[in-house]
Formats: sequence, C-alpha cells, structure tokens
Amino acid sequence: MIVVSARSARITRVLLGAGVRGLFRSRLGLVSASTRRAAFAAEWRRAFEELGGAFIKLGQMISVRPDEFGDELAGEMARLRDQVAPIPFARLAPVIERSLGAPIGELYASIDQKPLATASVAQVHAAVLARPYRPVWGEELPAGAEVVVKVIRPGAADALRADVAEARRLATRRVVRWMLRGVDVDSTLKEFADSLERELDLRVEGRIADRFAFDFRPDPKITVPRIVWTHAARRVLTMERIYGWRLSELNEAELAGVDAHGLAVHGATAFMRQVMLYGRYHADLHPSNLFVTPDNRIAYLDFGIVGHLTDAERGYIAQVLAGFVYRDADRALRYSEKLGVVVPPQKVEKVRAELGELLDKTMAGGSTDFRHFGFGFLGLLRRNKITIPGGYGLLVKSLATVEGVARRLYPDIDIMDVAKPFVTRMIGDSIGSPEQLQKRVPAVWRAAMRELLA
Amino acid sequence: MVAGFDPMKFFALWMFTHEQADDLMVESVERGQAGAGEGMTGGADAFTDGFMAMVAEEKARLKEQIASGKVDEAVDPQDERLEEIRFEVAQLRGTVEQMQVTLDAMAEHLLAKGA
Repeated sequence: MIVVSARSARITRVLLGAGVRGLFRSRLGLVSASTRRAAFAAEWRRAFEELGGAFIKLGQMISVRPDEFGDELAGEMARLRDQVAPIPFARLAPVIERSLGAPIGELYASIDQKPLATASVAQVHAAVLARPYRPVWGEELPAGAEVVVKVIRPGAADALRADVAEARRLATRRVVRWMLRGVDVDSTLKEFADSLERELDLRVEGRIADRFAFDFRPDPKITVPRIVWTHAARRVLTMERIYGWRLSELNEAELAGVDAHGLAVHGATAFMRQVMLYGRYHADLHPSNLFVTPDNRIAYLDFGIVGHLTDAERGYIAQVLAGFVYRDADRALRYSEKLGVVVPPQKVEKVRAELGELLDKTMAGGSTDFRHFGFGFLGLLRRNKITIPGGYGLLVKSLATVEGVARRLYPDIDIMDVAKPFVTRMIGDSIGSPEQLQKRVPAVWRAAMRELLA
Repeated sequence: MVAGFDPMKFFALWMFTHEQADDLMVESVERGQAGAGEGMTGGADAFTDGFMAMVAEEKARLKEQIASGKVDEAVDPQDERLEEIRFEVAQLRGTVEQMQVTLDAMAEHLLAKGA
C-alpha cells in the first residue's frame, strides 16, 4: 500500500512538472498551436521515460494513434526509449524453472546470464536448445540450435497493473479531462489495459509469430523466428535466434552485400500483402523490430501490436489506397466511409476539396510522401471533427511507418509506386467475383444504355 | 424484315464499333503506362488507365507464354486448403505441448509444496 502511494505521488509530481515545463517552454501558450503542442509533447515524452513501467507502454500505444492524440504527441512518443537496468539472471531463473517445470540445466544446453536485451516488461537471454524441436511451421530446430529466451520481469505484471490503476484514478481528475479533451480517455485506457494483459502473456506473441511464419511461407525473403512451445509459458517464450543488422546498422549490412533497395521494395510489398491478402499486419514496425539478415532476408520480430482486418475491410482499404495512389479523392472518401469515417453531408464538399489539395501537394507523381499525406489526412479529419475509427488511424500510421522503414533501407523508394500495382490488381481481381458481377453488371448495363440513349 | 437487312452495313457497323473500342483501349493503356512513370493526373479515370496498363502487361505475358508453349502452373486450391489444415493441426500440437508444460510445472510445484 505504501509502495503504491509513493509511486502515486511520484507519478503526480513528474506529470505536474512536465505540465509546468510545457507551459514555460510554450511561453504560457502564447506561441503558435503547433509549437505549443510540440513543446508539451516533448515534455510528456520525457516524463513517460522517467516514470517507466506502464507509461512506456502507454507512450508506445500513443505513438501508433496519431488519430486520437495528434501527430506531435504520436511522433514524439515514437522516440520513447525503454531504458531500464537489467536484473540479475539469478532473479529470472526461478521464473523460468517455475513456469517450465524443470531445472534450467535440463531445458537448455546453456544459457547466457548476460541479457541480450532489456525492457520494462521483459528481458531476453541467449540460450542453446538441449533437445531438437519440431516447430509449428518450418524446419526442425536441432539440438544445439541457438535460441533466445524472453522472460517477463518478476513483479513487472503487478507494477504495470498498479500503474494502470493509478492512470485510471488520475483520469478522473477534472484537470486531466480538460487537458485530454477530445480524447476518449476511458476507452483508450481500457484498450491500453487489454493490450498490456495480452503483452504480459507471451504465448499470444508466440501464436502470432507462428501465424506470420505460415502466411509468409511462399516468400523466401521473409523470415519469422520459430517458437519452441515445449519451452513456453505465460511468462516465458523461447524462440529461434535470428542474426542480422538493425536498420541503424545498414552501412555494415551493405558492406556485407545486402541488397538494400531490393529489400526496401520487398518489405513494402510484404506489408501490402499483410494488409490486403492476409488481413493481419505488424502494426509496430519500428526499426528495432526488424532485422536485415546476412542472407538477404527481412526478419520480423516482436509481434506486440498486430492489426486485424475482415475480408470486407481489406477490399475497402484497397479502394481507399487506390484513391490515394491515383489521387481520386471521391473514391478515397466513398470507401473511407465504409471503414467508419463518416463525413456529414454538409461537410462533404469541404473535406473533398481539402483532401484533393492534400493529394496534389503530397502525392504528386515522382515525389510522393505518404507520411505527410497520411498524417495530414488524419489532421484534416480531426479539424473537421470527423470521428476516426481506431483501426483506420492505426493503418494509416502503420503505412507511414512502413514508408519510413523502407526509406531507411533505400531513401529514394516511393511507397506509392509499390502500392500502385498491388491495389490495382487487387481491385481488378475482385471484378471477376460472382457476387461483384451480380451486383455491378445491371448498373453497368444501365449506364451504357443511358449513355447510348442520351 | 429480311429484305431490309444489309449484311455489308451490319458488318461495317460491327467493324467500326470494334475499331473505336480498340482505339479507346490503346489510348487508355498509353495513358496508364505514362502515368506509371510520371504520376497520374488524378481522378476516377486515372485508376481505369492504370488498370488497363496492367491488363496490357498481362496480355504481353500471356502472348509470350503461348509463343513459348510454357503455361503457368496454377496453385491447386485443394493443396492450399491442405496446407491450412496442416498448419491448424500443428498449431494445436503446439498448444497441447505448451499445456503439457504448464501441467507438469503445476504438478512439480504441488509436489514441492507437499514435500
């Protein structure tokens, strides 16, 4: 109880301090709105880093929701660093043994006590499999295969839940409600608590990794770590170790002969496939969740945030993207409505004109900039007080991130050039479906007759 | 009726219609191909042109295939379905293996407590 109270006081102190510094840096709000938002966003990010725990996770969630929190805050939170001191392996070993029901010496041929990576929720250690394992998909992992063991830090779950409870308590304060006006605080916190619970159960991540491995089975250029289910539990996940370069180490990768341009195009196409063919996409594709391997492949890691789409949504998204790619504002708006972006009739003309201008400014041939377009579009909807469904915002942000990642691989890549054949073919393929023919042929016939008889 | 039917005129009209349609199609393909390099002028017609350019590419590929006598091997939907089932069964195996681990761990824990 005392611990929670001390934490509660600290949270209040740090957040208040950030608010005061934000006011000071924005000259008591007398600067332009975007400068003020940027000043506050930087302070909130620093405060979240200082508070750690659930605030890191909350910041990561905000970073993928520019629709709800605005570009400045989402962009700033994307820079959030999850820096925590590693905990000694001696404290993790009992978690592994208790979860897997066997001594570590029986489970692994060896395990490195020095962590490979440390974050506020989990810590990762390199290990070697003692026995062979046949994974859900892909070739067998032999005895002696290199793996990594991800373990939820002891006490992390309780600390995170306590922070969520504290955030919920803070959210009832009037001043907080005022500061977050325009944000659906209750549903955002519920969504956050749910996603945290999913993240605290590592089996969820393992199942998604298996699904991605299966989805990408015909693609030799994409790899996903294989999961060792005999060494997995709610708090422990053992998976194949993949070697490669992070995007920040690309020079080294290129020196080793990796084809950055080919991988950039392939990575962007792979994302289109996730969205438009499989209906599941990696929605947290920041540079540390992606490796480029020495054998010229892209490795997806860490499936914390995954977007899901129904068959109908996939079709609508292809149409919206076609609208963006071909600068057809009417098409983009018509199908956005089917995805839940409902523009009131009295605003249609204004929104259409603004969208047309934005498309001309950011998506003109040869120099498309999806990031500016996507966030500009979400801003346009927000300014016109049009509700943006969570999934829609997440997808736009994910596409912008894919463009950013692809440009780190190859700065001149035009993601719309990649999307163009993809969406065109997808819409073209849908023309031949019996349902579509039954629905559209009478209208086509009527239109042709109208034209002939006019 | 038959007396008024002029086959020459009918075929001429038929030929003319095809010629018109063909010209329009070629223009659309050309616009679509140009758009791929320099960007579209935008709007609903741009998509149709882009689509037609892709259809023309597909036609060229098909022509090449017919000339070479090599035909693409289509993926058998039954093989796809079988793969899906294999994956689902393998997923179930993974789940059972994981559940076994949890059960063993619980038994171990209870034994240790009893001792």
